[in-house]
Amino acid sequence: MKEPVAHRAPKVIKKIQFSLLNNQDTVKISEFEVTHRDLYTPVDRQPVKNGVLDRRLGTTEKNAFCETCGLNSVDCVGHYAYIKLCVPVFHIGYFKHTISILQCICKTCARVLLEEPDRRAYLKRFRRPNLENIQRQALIKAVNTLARKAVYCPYCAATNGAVKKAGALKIIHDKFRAKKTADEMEQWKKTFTNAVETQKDLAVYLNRAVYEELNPLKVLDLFKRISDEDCELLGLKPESGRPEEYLWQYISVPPVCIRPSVAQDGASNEDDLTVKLTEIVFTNALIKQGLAKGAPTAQFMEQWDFMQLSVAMYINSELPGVPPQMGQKPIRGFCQRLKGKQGRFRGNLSGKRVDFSGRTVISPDPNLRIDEVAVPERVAKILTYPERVTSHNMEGLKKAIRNGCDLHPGANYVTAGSSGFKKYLKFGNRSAIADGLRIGDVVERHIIDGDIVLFNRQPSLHKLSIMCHRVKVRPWRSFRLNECVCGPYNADFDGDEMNLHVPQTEEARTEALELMSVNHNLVTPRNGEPVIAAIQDFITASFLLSRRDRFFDRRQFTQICSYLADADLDIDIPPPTIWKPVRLWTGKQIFNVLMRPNARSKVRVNVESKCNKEEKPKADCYPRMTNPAPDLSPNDGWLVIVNSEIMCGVMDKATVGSGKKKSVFGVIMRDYGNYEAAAAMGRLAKLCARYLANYGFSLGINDVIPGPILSREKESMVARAYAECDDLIARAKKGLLENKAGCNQEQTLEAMISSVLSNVRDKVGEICMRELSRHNAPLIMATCGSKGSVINVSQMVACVGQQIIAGHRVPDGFQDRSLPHFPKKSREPPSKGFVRNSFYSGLSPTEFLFHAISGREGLVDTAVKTAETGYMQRRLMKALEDLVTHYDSSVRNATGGVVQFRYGDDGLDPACLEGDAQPVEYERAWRHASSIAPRSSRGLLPFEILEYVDRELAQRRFTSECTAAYIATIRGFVTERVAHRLAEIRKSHGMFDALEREEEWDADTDLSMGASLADRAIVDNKSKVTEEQLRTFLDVCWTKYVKAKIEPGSTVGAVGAQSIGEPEIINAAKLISTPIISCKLVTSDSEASARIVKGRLEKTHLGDIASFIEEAWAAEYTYIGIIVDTKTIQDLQLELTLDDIKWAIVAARKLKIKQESITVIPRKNRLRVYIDGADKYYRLMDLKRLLPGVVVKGVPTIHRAIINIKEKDDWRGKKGDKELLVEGYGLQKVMVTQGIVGEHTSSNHVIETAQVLGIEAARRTIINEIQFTMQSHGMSIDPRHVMLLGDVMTYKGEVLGITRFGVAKMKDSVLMLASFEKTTDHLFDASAYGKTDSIAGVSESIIMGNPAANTGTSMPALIIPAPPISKPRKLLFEQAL
Amino acid sequence: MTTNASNIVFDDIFTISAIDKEGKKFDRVSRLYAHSKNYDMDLTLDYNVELYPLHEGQSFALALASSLAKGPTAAGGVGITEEEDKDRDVWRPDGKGRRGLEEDYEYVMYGKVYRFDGGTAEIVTAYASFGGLLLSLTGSFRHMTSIVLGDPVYILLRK
Repeated sequence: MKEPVAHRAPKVIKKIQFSLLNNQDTVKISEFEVTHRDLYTPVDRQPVKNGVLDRRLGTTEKNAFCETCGLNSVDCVGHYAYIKLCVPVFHIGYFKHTISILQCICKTCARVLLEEPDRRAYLKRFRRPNLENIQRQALIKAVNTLARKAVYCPYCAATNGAVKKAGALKIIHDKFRAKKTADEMEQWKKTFTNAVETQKDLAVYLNRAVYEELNPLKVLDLFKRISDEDCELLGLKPESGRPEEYLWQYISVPPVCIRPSVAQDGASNEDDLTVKLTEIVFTNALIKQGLAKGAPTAQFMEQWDFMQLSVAMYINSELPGVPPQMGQKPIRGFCQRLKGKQGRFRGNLSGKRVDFSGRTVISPDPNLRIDEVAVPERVAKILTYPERVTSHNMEGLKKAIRNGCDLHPGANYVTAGSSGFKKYLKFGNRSAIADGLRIGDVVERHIIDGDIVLFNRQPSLHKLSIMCHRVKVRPWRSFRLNECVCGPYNADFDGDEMNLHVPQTEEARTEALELMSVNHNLVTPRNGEPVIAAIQDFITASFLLSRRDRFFDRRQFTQICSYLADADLDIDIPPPTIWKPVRLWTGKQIFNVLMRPNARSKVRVNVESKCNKEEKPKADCYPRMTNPAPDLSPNDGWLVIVNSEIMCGVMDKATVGSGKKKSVFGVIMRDYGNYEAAAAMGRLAKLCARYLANYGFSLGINDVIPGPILSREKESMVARAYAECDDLIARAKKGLLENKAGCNQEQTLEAMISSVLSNVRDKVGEICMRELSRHNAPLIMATCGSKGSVINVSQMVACVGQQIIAGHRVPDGFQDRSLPHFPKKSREPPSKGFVRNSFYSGLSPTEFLFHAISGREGLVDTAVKTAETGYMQRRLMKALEDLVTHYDSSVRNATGGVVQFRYGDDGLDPACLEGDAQPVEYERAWRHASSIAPRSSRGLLPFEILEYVDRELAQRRFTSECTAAYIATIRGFVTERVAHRLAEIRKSHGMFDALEREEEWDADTDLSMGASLADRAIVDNKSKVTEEQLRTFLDVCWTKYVKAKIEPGSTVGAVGAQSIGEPEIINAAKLISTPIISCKLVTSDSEASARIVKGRLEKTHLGDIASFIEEAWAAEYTYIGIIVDTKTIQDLQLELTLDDIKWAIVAARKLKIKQESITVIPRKNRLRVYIDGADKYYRLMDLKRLLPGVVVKGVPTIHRAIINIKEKDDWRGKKGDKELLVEGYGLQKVMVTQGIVGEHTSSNHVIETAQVLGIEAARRTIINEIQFTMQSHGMSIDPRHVMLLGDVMTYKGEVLGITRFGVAKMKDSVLMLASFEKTTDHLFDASAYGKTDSIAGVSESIIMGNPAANTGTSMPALIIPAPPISKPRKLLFEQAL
Repeated sequence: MTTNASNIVFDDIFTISAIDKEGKKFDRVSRLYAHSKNYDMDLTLDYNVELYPLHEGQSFALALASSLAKGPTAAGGVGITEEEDKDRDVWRPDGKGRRGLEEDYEYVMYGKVYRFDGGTAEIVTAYASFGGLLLSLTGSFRHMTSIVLGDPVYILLRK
């Protein structure tokens, strides 16, 4: 009778319990016992019955059937068998655990070697509910150390010694190791006297071997006798695994489908596992035979060891201690199958192969929108989307079905909604299928324009490496994308390939569109700067078009305007700039149209920013202006846009390119949303591509030919630099150069020559900029920032410059010279890699070689860096992957542990911040608000402004949504920048400043105190503020703040890891310097006192202050006499007495000098160290050599201290103050040193800070150090990411590194750790200790195929009462197990 | 201060003291530096050298006007009627609309006053941009009463 299925509710794996496979289960799951070593019968080449390839295990051959279930190789899931070992062997995976348990138990009575009180205490602690993994491990370790100390078992009083590993798979018990057991050992040895008498040979062994070997049989016996309670003490869970299960007694033989045989013309090739299994079966049989027949012990032992090794190799073929067999390839054991990048965990479980994807070469197409991707038709015909038929799409889908597989907007399969029957549309009557289409059927149609796909380029280093595009089906064979989107993918078109994935459900499509769309990812979450922006030619074209002297007549202007779009855009032509003598428009007006094509468009851009190359106006050219506005930049290098009209400035890298928050697109995005920004970018792409194609921008040999002036000047400059270098070399030879800080003469010379030569290159660059034509293509590109730099231009035209290898000039590859073309010991520029020629003039042979060396170094560097940064990224990602913001805006890990109570302390999303880590850039927001709001109404008085702002800010929408700190900054800005400014200007024109409302004022009071009309006009012009402007400003502030709040469910950990893990950042972070303690001095202005403090800190050796160390020999005494140089002590300003020196010598432990043996003779400034004993002479010689090294003053761990003069003010003092920078360790000692302000002393060494000042200080140090290195490399990363990293590294209460050790302490999940590093170690650990994995984190969920709970879109859930479920019925087969 | 029509917000005669003081950076545009005797104003102006060649020492008459209409508008200068406001930014290629003033001048540009900078209380600089060609006018604020921030402006030049 067929049982009805109870219910089909989806099941989710909630947790995994790891345990040991015991003997009963091994046999239970098996079909039979393997006893036969042969694989095939010799006659008919069939698998041998009871062999390891028995047909009952399933089959891998196509035409054979499984003898257990009768299914073919595809459908049979496989069946198990077992091998019964006649003697137990160790399991290599649990070998370490076996040893550690043996160390804990009595080797006689098998009880844990703990006294009863300890035992109870530990048991209690082990039984604590919700014990965290770290603590558990710590407890196990504590029990182990305690038990190892015990010599006599508290229960049976037997002697116990050390248990250790001896050889690859041998455990020994050194029973009488403890000194106090020496007598026992003698006793024990005496028991052999009789035996020795009869067999003399034994005596030799008796003197040597006092070890007891713990062979598997013995261990098994011990383990079986461990009580369940004792198991708990050992950290095990007796219900999921007992220690005796650590040993092999039965070996499970896996189905053949996991170890398929490969038939190769007649012979067959067996899997490594099969081979090993036969080996085990064979050895086992041999031992069994031997035991039955009574073979010699030696032979038995040998066979046992061999079997032991075979079983170990079967599990893990890379045994430590077993040398790999030369000449044959290493076998692939189970551990090797799991391990590594291609292993099961990383290769198959964490990353899987997918359907509905495509890959081909990419090429550019500026005519696509930025969120589009052109998909070749032949790809579109293979990738499909299963669309369910409704009454709305019925017609379209019918048409698609009729078109079939081979005509583009067609379909490949139809699945009937009623029966689930799937039809292939290549064959059969498509018309009939189309006619029979019913609502509810599913049609797998070709992808068409507007479909949603994911587009990806490897390496996927950040979330912008995979984005959602809209499909545009086009002919030919490449994927095409708008060049603006190259940035986030880091794509170019030199043969790059990219991948395309088609989400298969509406949910997936929506999620992709909302979260991953190009439009929603215009900025990088690293710091909120745009990454999708104009590049290369677009920048060049924008620059050419927006130059000040670009004029167009009406025909040209309208033509260019029509480039903007595809004839689907209404364009209002602005009034011409020049009306007379002829009507002309300027290029900048094109951009006005681009930003705001017609009067209906709401986009009103307001921005002021620096262009790529800004020349500041010279103040003396504008004598009457106090300081001329940057607008007057002679090269048009300052951009001002008011209401989408460019007032001045050019469009270049800084204004249309990526990486600047104040670029035009960045501003449009912040003020008018992603879609307007994307549309504007699309217009720009079309405009620039079309304009530049028409304009014709190319580069020829003419562009790199230097003019006569340029060549002459360059030659003379190089000659002068050479002369200068010669002079430096000559002076260095005489030793006349003043050494630079921390350098010797040679290094100083190198540094000076390098600076001279790099100077000459920069100067030549400047000449190039000046002398080359304004129409020179490379120059234009360098100026607008589209490609190349000034240095690149000058390398082509004038001078290639110094070649650097490993940070220095070219080293000597030959004896004392770089090449035999030069004289030995030559330091001159040409011999050390200075290339005076240009690429145009051609390099001389030696120059060519130097250039090639340098070029090769660059290539090698990039190759090395990619590997290193990839690994760093992976580690960061594993450490941070599960950190998510929750509805209370806290950041928690997968197990619910709080990492931050509020993300980044303010709960704002770094991607939404337009200011420098601030949600609003007030200056610009104010300018924007005052430009877009009407200015015609009455101007407010300063006190009115303040009152209005206070009133607005007190509203509920502000008080409930914004933090007090944020409101305060808004108020501060308005007061400072708006109200006070107005008041000041009023005052200067003789009006009331009116900052506060006075009682007696009424409507008629003339607050201008009768100022003239002109005064009023100018005050208005300078600083009129209307209510509308204020309101708009506050609205903007509010909206931006609310928008910038981080969403619950944001994967801040992953985003942070990606942001920190970007290659450039990691390379910078690697350069974190040596430990330095910076200290504030009590008297920070005095050089002398700083020197005294320095003397206190820096270590002084006895040798430094002793003028003499002598030996004195006499009959009755021998001593070493030390004469102390008091003058030196005074000169060094050390506070040191003879007694101090004496005690310092005594304190030097290594010398072992007792204080009685030192006498001080104060008047003569002498110390005598008396020596006596047997080997006086050697002792004296030894001491004489060591004494000068004794540290008599200062902190020994400090290398040196430097007095530093502050360059700028900070919280620790003002500019010009002296401070002490101490290189080395010893923060605590430095802090308590007299003359140093302890509370203003900090170290950049994280671990030391943690030890001295605590974990919070360590967190601060981590954050400060990262921020500091980032700043010094000119990279910006939002402080929130760094804070998160700092918190993750410290939230467990100790400083954890982002390494496998740190990560293992941060996470509990076995699967996550297994998918990171040391896969098998974690798995064996888990089963040995019976761990459970709650499948909460990201890695585990991916491995188990669950949606990652509590992250992103899977976080929100409906709370419904649990449905009543009756007790599950016991199933028949469950009892079978 | 204005002579014939209240549409003109500023006019004076300037003498060019220098051209491209900070170096010639563009082919077709130069920046002139000029000074006026009447109001003691300083002027810098970017202009198209091809259309309107000027040289050092030359004098020219400059007028800034809010509209090209000859004669006073309804409310004069600052007050702008609704109708005017509507077609302020409208430009007709056929040449219709309010015009006439340009007939008396040789070089006319259209742009916008976008910034007022005050060094001291007395000396003020007004900045206007004509499609990227900048004008800066420095002098006593008393002579710039009619120039309003944010308003469109015509510049008219005559030798």
